[in-house]
Amino acid sequence: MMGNLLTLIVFLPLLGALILGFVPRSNDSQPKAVAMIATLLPLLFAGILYANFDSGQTGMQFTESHDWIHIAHAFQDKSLVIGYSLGVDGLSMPFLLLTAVVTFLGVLATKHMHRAKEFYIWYLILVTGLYGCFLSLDLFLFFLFLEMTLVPMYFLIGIWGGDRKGQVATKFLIYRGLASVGILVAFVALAYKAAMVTGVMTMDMIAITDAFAKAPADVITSSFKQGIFLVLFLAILIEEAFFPFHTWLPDTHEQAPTSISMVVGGVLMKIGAYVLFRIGVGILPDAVQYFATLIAVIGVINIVYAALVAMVQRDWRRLLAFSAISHMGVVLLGVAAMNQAGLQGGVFMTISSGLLSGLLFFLIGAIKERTGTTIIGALGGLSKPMPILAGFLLVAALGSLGLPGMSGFISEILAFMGAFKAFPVLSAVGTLGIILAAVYLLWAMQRTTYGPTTAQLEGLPDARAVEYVPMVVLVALIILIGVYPSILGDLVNHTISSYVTRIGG
Amino acid sequence: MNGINGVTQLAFSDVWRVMAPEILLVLGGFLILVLDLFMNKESSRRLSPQLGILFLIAAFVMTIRNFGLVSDQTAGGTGELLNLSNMLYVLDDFGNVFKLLFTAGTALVLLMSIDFFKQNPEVKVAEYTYLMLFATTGAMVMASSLDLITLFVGLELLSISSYVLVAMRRNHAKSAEGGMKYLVIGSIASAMALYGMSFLYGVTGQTNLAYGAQTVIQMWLQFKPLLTLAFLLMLIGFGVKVSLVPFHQWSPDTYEGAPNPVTAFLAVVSKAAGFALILRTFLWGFSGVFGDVYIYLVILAALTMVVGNVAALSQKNIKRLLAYSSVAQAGYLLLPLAVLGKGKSIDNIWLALGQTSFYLVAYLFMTMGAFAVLTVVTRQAGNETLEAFRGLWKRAPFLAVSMAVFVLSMAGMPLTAGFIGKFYIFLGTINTEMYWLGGLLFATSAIAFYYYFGVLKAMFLKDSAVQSHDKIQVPVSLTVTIAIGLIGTLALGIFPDLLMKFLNGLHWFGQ
Repeated sequence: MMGNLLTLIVFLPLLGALILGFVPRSNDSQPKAVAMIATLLPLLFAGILYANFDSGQTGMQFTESHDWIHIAHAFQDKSLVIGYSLGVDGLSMPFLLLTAVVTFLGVLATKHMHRAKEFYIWYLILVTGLYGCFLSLDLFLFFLFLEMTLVPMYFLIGIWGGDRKGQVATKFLIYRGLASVGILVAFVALAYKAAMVTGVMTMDMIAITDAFAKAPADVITSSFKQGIFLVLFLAILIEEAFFPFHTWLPDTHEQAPTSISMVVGGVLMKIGAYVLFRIGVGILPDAVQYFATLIAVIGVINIVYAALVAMVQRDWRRLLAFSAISHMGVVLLGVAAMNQAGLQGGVFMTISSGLLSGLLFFLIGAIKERTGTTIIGALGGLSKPMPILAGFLLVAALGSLGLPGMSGFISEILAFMGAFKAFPVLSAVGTLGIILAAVYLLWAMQRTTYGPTTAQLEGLPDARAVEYVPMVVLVALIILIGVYPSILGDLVNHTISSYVTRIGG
Repeated sequence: MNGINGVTQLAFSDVWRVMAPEILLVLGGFLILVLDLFMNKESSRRLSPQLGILFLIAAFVMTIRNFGLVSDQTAGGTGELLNLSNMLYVLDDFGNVFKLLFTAGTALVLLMSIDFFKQNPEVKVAEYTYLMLFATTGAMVMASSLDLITLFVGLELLSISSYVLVAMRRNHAKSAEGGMKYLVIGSIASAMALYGMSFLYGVTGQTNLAYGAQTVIQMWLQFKPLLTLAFLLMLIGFGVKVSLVPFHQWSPDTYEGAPNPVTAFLAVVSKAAGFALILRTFLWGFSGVFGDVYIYLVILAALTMVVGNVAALSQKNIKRLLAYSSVAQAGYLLLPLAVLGKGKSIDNIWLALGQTSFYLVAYLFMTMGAFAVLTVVTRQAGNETLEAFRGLWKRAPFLAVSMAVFVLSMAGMPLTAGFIGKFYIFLGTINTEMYWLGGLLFATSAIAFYYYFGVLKAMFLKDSAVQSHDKIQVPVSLTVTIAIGLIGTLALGIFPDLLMKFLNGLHWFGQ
């Protein structure tokens, strides 16, 4: 029964997009219904997988594997066999669940759109790409799904975005297009080196990981690993919108429609972090170790710089984008520590930031729908006309700045615990980010929800019934991870330990 | 001189067995030429392209049969190179693959031309058709000769026919300008190539590449500058034909001026023939010293990828845009050969030939499809700018989606043939550890997103400039071309093994 569940999860959204192609254009509610089903079913399946997942195991589970492409003479006289292979382990499971939740809620959060049918077609193609990235066990397949997210994103921003949509859509495309260059160079180089060890050319992640783990130092030199890691790391910096390659993210968040902002902040920009864990730490741990200080420094720069920039933002969406960058800086710091706590904190932070971004962008979208603006200065006293939305916004902001009992807190604790062991001084500087986060978030909150309500904001409606679903689900998950961290910790623990032991040996 | 091992000499009576496709096309050309004299104008206009396509299909089928000859036991031992007149003309799978490309490409071009004839009553249909057939024959000779003289004859047959085809609309100023530019630059290119060939002959005393190759190795130390000069002159000459930077300047003007089907012919068949010639000449003639000359190919490939893509950024005319895009594609296509300079074994050659062939097939499908869509859209809009594509998704969803697939394939997006093709070529650059070149391949592709997505932007993001939302009428012949392009592009993108398996089993040079 579990046999093809992963394939179903990946391709149901695409199937939904195909079906939508045949729905008449005039109708507005049908496309949404199809999109809802096409994202709800994968969510259910992901739930089934989670229920059946054996977290005591390190390896991949629910795997599917078929040969797909045969390329003769790719490595000496050997063929390269590219596989269609999917699987989940403790690292990808949280990302799978995150994708399932956020993409479904994204559909719920979508209001009336012009050209609704096309919107959902692109949205569903994007969802397939996202699932594919986290479930692929073949590097080629991963790359294919990663590229697959580019086209729908271009249209989703370009057609349904704000006033600078065309320019920002192109910016998104070029930035991420260039990032994939680095990823591809690194991937194929890894595959060729692994082939030199094993004599068989493959792009299978597991096989390459094993080959690198047991490779003698003269076949795969450490300078090769360092070079490849630098290329990969550069790509991740772009992919993950780190300073100085971050400018596409605030622009994207500012211009994209609400549900797309949720998916970008919640899932899409986490792909870079996933690559860092899976390929960086998983395949090239000694290179990560070698560049640990560099990674930590870049992490701290991002934590502090993005927090400072967030303070001067006038638009909520840009503020949240910089806040996300600042939080993802913590992930870099945690990874640089290269110990159990640090890595685990990194994964926690990635997931937590995904959930919080999803929630925050949803709320800001809901406010924008009512007030017509996201400029902090133009808002004020929202707690009076819409106490529920304002209340949830406060909860989300508190979660984001790391209030105990919510996911942000445990993530920061773990990451900094790991980081303090390795880089006490840098980590101390990094904690500045926590303080700054409190400043910019609470300040923005205060200006938005408190104070006198301006005349045109008076009498605006509060949350509708359907809007409770995303808010309650996301807040519940954030609090669940906050008060019962082992629900996430148990999942990733084994995979992370297996990475950590490899560093030691 | 008595042959080389692994080669089967054939008697002259075997000429049909080896040259059946070429003979069919020449016969077809002459038949159309003669029929035109006797038939009335109406039926000649109707019959000529149909006859042409028929002969191309027959040549296609005979080429498929020839794959059997190369590997067939009864034809004289497994996997041997069949040759005529002491290695003057050979039958191997390398030539066969290219012949398939040429015949399929020209057939699609003629299919597109049927509509062009209807729109332009002043064009002489029979003349146009037999020139196409002769040009294709020339291309075939370029893919199958091992002698500089026959190679040059093939090149000239293709080129001279093309010059006339470009200027087919005589009272059309741009057509004449394009034809003239192509004639002048093409002739200079031919002269350069010939000059280079003469040096090669001077040093080796041979016009035959198979025998000459051994002499090149012996003479290399002594005559290195002269042989390098010969290599470079030939490279320039051939480079013009496939529009490598900096020898590409003719192509935007010629592409813009030529009738759409002829542009498609230049972009696909003529370019593929140029690459057949480049591969044939350099892989045979310079195989022994390739490590010393490959760097020029690397430089040209890098330049072509960068300049082609950057120059395309500012184009507003869709045909000029596709011209620069086709320049950039030439850069990608040169990469497999260029990286062979750092190749480690003979397998790298087979890899390179597979890469070039796969990309050319992908390129055939996407380019033909794109030109077919372009023909319909620009005619309806009355201009050839990107504006013509505005709001196409509303007016003609099928055309818009098809064009999107073709453009995405050129940009190298997943699930299209172009993506697999690029990845395939990319493998070779990493295999030979030329990481920067592979990086450049995909980095310039990312730059190219800008203009490819400009086309998509016009089609899907903007509203139509034309107020009337008339349905666009698509002629049957163009619908078929678009459908073939669409099916080919998607099928190879999703199931690349359809072609990979076939390429994997080939005996490229008979081995």
